[in-house]
Amino acid sequence: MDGAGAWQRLAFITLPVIRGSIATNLMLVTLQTLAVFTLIWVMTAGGPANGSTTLPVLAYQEAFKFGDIGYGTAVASVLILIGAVFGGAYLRLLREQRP
Amino acid sequence: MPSRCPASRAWKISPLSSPRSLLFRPLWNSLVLSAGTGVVTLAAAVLAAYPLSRYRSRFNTPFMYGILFGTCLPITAIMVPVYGLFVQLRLLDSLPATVLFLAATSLPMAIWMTRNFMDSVPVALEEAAWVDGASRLAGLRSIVLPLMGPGLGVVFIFVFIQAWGNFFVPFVLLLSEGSQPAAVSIFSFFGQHGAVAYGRLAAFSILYSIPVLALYAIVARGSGNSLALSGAVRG
Repeated sequence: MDGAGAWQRLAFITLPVIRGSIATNLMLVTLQTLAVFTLIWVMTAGGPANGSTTLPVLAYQEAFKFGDIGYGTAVASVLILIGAVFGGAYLRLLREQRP
Repeated sequence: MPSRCPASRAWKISPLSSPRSLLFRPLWNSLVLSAGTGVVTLAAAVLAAYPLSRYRSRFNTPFMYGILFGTCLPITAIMVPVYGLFVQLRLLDSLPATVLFLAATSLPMAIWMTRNFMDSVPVALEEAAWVDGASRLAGLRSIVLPLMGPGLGVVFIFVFIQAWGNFFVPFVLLLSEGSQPAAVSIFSFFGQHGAVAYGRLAAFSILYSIPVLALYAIVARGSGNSLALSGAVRG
């Protein structure tokens, strides 16, 4: 009606309307990816030279490969904290969506 | 000149050329783990979801949000302490203990889903049962559970598939080859130092993914007409 093209419709109407869903999804996917261990471990095992070591892989390596349970637990605690931050943000977004 | 068959060598590589126990033992362990986790989770989730769904309490909403928050936390982060716990309790390499832990980790999502399914069963049906002299547990067992059967099936399959595909938990908690599930034993086909047995890996992967595909087909077929309960209450 006002002469908006398909792209403009997407950018100015659709995206703003589903912004909440996008943010929620973003949070969830971030959280799930944060905890990914299997794929990285199977494909690269954290290598080459720790180039693909994420926090879960680091925690596993320190605790089980090098036998330093304490260090592994510390890394895991940091991981939990980061997860808690994102989880809190996710809950807040969810609560805003349906009060 | 007939087209040549792929070199006979390619056909020989299959898990069947290895001892049978190497093939069936992991699949059996996977089945025990996943089914056990599903049953334990479902029983606990129903009992937890019933009061959350039926009683009005001011703790309900915080509790549900707490559960949702629990589903957000990365499981990989608590595996190191859990390993320590299992060592102290001498539960390492024990399938039942791993089942219990898997059930505990999948419980938040299961409670959340079960509660939503339970909310869609009208209380009026239960009230009718109470009038007829049924206790709360009897009402739950003979009225609510049968009515939310499809929902329970969905939750069970959801938990089952998650446990079936779980690599990290059994990888850490189950040490001996005889108790490891398929997800972990697939990893052994990768071999050491990059010598991957691709033939066996591919064949085993297909066997490994068949149950999940079958269950997915069941869910996809069943969830369409699962919760048409509104017709039970009229007038």
